Amino acid sequence: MASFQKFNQFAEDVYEKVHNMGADQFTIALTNTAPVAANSVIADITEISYTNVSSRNVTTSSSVQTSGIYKLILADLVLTASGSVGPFRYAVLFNNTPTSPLDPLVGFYDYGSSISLNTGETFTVDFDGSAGAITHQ
Amino acid sequence: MSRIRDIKEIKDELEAARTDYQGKANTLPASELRPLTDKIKELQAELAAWISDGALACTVCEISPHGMEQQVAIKGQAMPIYEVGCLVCPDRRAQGFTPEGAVKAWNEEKFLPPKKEVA
Repeated sequence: MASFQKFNQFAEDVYEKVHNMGADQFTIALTNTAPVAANSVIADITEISYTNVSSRNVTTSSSVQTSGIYKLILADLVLTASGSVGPFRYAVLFNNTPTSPLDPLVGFYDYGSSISLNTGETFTVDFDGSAGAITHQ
Repeated sequence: MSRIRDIKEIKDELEAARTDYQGKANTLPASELRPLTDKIKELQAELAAWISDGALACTVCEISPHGMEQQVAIKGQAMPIYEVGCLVCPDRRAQGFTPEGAVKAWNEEKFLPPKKEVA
């Protein structure tokens, strides 16, 4: 499982009404260019072509605190290729709902090396299920 | 909690609530968005309770576990799988190809192996 690295701006955005975590649409962007912590919106990311890949929208299962610990629970996302996809090395989680700022970034996973998919192949973005994609206490 | 209605009915209503919210999220004032958000969260909680129906409380923290629908890739296709897990205790997650299977695995404490970070 790749480790999740958050973007610096997310730490501020989450306290300034940019995100409505339980209801907003989170989406995955794929890139082969290393993101940096200072990136803040999707325009900062050099995305690959998505012509041959299935929906990148992520399903939010829960946004809730239990015993004072907040967790954003996201369902794993299976991307299926209908042709050549990639190469990409990083999966970037961003919020697809806000328009100001437009599509703010949350964090990214680094898979260690570039990945390419061919027709019928799949790639799973593992958000750690009920353990929580994002935890805050 | 008993299952009052069908899972498809809950999921359809949740999808409709999400679509409604997405269409208005950047135009309505916060006071008018709040009920739309609350509706989504209410349906998320109902869906989670539906999936984890029959699951025993976590034996460590004694909190009811969370139920969710996951995706797995099987022979090149995304397929649903169900998960019941503790939102408090790490590494206490169980899965099954049906909600009942996930609940059974949870109740028998047949948890998934802890994940290892590779990057």
